[in-house]
Amino acid sequence: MPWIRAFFLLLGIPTEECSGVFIAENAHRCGSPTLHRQKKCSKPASFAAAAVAALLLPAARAQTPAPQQPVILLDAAHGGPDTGARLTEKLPEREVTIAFANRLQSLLIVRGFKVVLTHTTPDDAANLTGDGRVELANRSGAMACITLHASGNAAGVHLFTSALPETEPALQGAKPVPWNEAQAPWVTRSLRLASELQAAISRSHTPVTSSRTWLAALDSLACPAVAIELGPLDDATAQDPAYQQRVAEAIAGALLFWRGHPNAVTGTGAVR
Amino acid sequence: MIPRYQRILFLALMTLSVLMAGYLWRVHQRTIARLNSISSAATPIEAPGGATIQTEAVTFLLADDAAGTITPSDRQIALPNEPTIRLRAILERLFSDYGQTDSRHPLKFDGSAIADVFFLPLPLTPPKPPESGYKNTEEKTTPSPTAFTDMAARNGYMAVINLRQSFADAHPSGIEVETLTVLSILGTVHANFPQVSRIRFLVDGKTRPTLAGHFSLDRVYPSTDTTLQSTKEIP
Ligand SMILES: [Zn+2]
Repeated sequence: MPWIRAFFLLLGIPTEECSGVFIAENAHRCGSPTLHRQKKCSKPASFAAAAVAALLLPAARAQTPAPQQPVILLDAAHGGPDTGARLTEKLPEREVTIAFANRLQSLLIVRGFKVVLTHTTPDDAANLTGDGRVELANRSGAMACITLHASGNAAGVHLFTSALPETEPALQGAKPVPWNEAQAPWVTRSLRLASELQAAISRSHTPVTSSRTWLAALDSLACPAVAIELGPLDDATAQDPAYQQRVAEAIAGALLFWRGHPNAVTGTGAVR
Repeated sequence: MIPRYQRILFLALMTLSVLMAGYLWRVHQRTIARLNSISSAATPIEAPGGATIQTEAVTFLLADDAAGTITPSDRQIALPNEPTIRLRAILERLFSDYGQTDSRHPLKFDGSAIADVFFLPLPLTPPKPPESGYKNTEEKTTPSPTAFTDMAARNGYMAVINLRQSFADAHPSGIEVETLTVLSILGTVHANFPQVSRIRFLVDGKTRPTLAGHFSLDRVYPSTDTTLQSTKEIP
């Protein structure tokens, strides 16, 4: 009975088998016809439940406002032994990303956000794997996941969203989602977030591009996700405090706007 | 006293050798004149087997770092017919453009960027055991020019581009610059090989997680038009 299950979902009560919540693992469990706990999880029923849940879940979340502060996940890319690109002779990318993340964090906190950082100093990322970062992000329930990069060769700010093909919301949960395609159901929302960010950065008198790419750090995220690469601008490197501050304020402003956006639903926590 | 017949013989031989020397000199002069006329001529000599090598229009999708764009550009180049050599020649030409210091997407690397390229017929399925001994002759992993078009009509091909590690190691690091390099390759393959539907990369025969720290190089990419208009918003 899919509608009963959907009703339980509305009330927030998890149903044992095949709850239809579209995280990768459950989808996998329900999608596979070979597993044993399948008595009530016949394929058409699971599909219908997943489809109804996919349609109702965002609405359910919108109707019951979360008591906690909205969460933003900031991932300063690289760190530890991975120094990233070399921006100048003595400036590795990992120093810039962490400085930028810390700057952005304070601007977001004063705007009422809760900020989750994957790491806070260049060295404390030594034991942080790429999958570890993603797991942290997917558990955070963030309404936006921002991964920060810097480069020495492409001028201005560059925004990237995942190049994964967008999957139809109705298909979410209907088939297993591979770990490196967890972003697929979020791509539409990620593109909206990128366009909000692009508009805001452009208003701050900074040249900004937006395109799509294949980036492992984006493809596994189950949240609206954008990678931001800070390139040099005129004579300033990406480490220039005034330049960083201007871009960070634009991003913080855009996220404040994103907070009221219908697409700003949070992730359901796909973990490996 | 030298006998008369000996004197006559000597004079006859002497005259003959002078005449021969004159003839040789004339032939030598003619040869020099002919060689000079060839080297100064503007038309190239036709290469052996010139019927298979002819210049044709090839579309390159060229990256531009400053604008953040990928734009198609046609060039006339001589290409062989064999698909793998053809693809390799096109990509080598693309990379030699990027190797120039005045390139709009400069990449510094030594020697060749590509180890080799090959095509795999799709879908990639395990080979079926032969039912009878006769069918094997039709199945080839390396397509011949005609087999290429025949099989492409059914499933398309996956182009595998095996890059050199020296090229990947020397590639500048950054999402934007790495993305532009790969999109330029994908788009160039798409523009010139409509039979190819999938593309994947190897580096010295192995999978490599990223090109230079960012772009995921270990996926299978669809062959699509990667032309990228400027999305730059300049205030
Ligand atoms: Zn980076």
